[in-house]
Amino acid sequence: LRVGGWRAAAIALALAAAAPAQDPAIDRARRALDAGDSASARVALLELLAVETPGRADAVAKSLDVFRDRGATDDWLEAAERWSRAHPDDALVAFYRGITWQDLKHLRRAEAALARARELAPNEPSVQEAWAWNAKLRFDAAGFLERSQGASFRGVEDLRREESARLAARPVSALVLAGLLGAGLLGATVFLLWRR
Amino acid sequence: LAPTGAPIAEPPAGTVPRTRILLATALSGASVMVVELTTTRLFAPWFGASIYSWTNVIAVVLLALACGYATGGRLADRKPYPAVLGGILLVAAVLLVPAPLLARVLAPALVPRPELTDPASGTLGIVFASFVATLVLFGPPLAVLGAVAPFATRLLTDSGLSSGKAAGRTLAVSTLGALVGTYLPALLLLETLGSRATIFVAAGFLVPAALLLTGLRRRKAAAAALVVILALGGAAAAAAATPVVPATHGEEVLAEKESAYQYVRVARWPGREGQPSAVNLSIDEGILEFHSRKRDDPLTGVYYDHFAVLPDWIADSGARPVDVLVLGGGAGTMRGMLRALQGPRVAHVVDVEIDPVVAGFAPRFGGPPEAQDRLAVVDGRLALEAFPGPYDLVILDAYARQIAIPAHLATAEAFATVRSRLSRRGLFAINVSTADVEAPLTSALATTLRAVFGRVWSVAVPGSWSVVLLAGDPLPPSKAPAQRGDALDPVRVQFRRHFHELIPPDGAILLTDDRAPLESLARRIR
Repeated sequence: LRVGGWRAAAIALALAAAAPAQDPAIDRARRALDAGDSASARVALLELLAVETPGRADAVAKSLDVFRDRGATDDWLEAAERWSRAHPDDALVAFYRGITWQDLKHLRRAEAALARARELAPNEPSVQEAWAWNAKLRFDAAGFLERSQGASFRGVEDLRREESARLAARPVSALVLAGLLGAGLLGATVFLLWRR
Repeated sequence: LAPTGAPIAEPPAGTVPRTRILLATALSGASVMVVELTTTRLFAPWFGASIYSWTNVIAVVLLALACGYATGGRLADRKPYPAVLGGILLVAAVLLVPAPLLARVLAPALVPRPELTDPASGTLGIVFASFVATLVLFGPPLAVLGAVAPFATRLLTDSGLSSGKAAGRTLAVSTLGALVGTYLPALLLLETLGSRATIFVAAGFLVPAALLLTGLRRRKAAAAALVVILALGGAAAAAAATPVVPATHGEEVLAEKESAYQYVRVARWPGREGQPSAVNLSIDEGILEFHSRKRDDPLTGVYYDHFAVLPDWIADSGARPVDVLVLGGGAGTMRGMLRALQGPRVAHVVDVEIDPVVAGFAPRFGGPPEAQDRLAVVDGRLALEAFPGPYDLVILDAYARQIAIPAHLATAEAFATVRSRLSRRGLFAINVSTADVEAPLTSALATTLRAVFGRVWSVAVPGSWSVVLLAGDPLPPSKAPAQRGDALDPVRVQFRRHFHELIPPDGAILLTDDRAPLESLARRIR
């Protein structure tokens, strides 16, 4: 499974958003986490999310890495979910919540967050990719094909071919034929015994 | 009785002693049970040995026998001759012989291609395929064998027994034969001969049974029996000399064996794109590969690496090495990983494996236990009683039929026993195969773990269907080492990034000894 494809794309998107300057809120979160003070780290994250700058996407991605590298993914998610409840139109946070849940194999929570991100940013390739991957990870070939229809993320056509093949393989004609053969053999045996 | 020395092709009704009829019936009953118990094992390399496979085999046996009973009774009324019954037994033997040989052609042709299916539809496909394959190969011979009991009843009635006595004796000896046939595969045949040759043995039972009834003179009967038994022996030897599952895709089969529990196969797979080759041990249909070891690489690249990190999360593991109990130790991969990668941080390892064949592969493929370690060939639940610990780390990596943890090892009662065997700093870790931790199986496991331990954490293994569930008292992430400068460092990064508390959804099943439907939960992926 190429489960990392959407994440690589998301990180590339975030890094391309410029503004490489170190955010003081991230530094505060990092120090708090290193000291085992997760409450202060969450406060710092909420401060970071509240600042609208051109480099916000990069800052959110970096904050996520800082929390995750310290085994504090739950703290990042808790703060981000609180933020999303207060700011339901923030597509960026909804997207990062979605891909984080997806990475933790929480596919239902991921789907809910990504559905919101898609509503808010339907043409964003990273959102399209993560949204489609959610269906693929749940082995929902039809869902993947529907979600990736018209999407422009890299490799989408190859993935669509894969999932189409998966759907086409569903018919069990060979099995049905073999089953009929088995029933026929059994019937013939009974018939021969019966007629003797 | 027929005059001595006179060849009789078709003696009239009642001319064969009752003991012969009863003996033939008993041999037929034994043959049916040997076939029934061996068929699941014969197909296990492709369909597994799940409760669904067993159900299909039993269903086909019952269906075929029902057909045989009806037709056998009718035939007995029309031609109530012992020689006809002898012919029926020979036909059944002839129909059984090709079945094990055709199984390795038919079964793989019916299995859904794994890359084109998902776990849910793939499992359903396998369930259907196992029914069809069993019906095609074993329906006809078993239907013919079904005709034996009513036919024998008729012959006994014709010999002067009342119908009640005739039916009672037929059923009694048939059932006693079946009783013997029930034990033979499990205790003797499967492990010594393998599943294919065991089917030939079942066919072989029918040859003397037929000869008892055909009325051939003793010498001719003996000669005929010798010819048929030699032919069956040759077929069995040929079957034993060829691999159960042919090698594919460049793999080199290092060993294969049918144990009392499963079909076991060890193969070396060439590495992709310059990667080192891996030795994999697979079981039954091999949907999942187990016990992967790579030459020249201490890491497996799969979930074992995440378990090797666990001593890091146990307080003072540097100062006080940890004692480990592995339930489902297989050929010793987990033990070998812990020893190779955690060195002095591991004190003793008790490796528990239920299958002696798998455990026996440890010296060749997984590494023999070190002097301070112990290898116990016993069920995991019994091991918790026999080796009470305490342990600092208990790992549950036991799988039955590929996708499901054995039910009795994943209940609140079993987890409570594990908890009682843990030290105060102890950790309990479970390997769960799932694509979605919110799926019913993982939710039920998490709910049960929380009921016993209070809190549960999950660590998703990237790029796989594996999740490590953790319960007990792990170090907080800020206290667990991020880097130690060894081969596990990249795994430590992944472990921390995917470490989080798992809170299952409301309404998930609490697994108990009384109710633990793990197989059906594993099938429900959405």
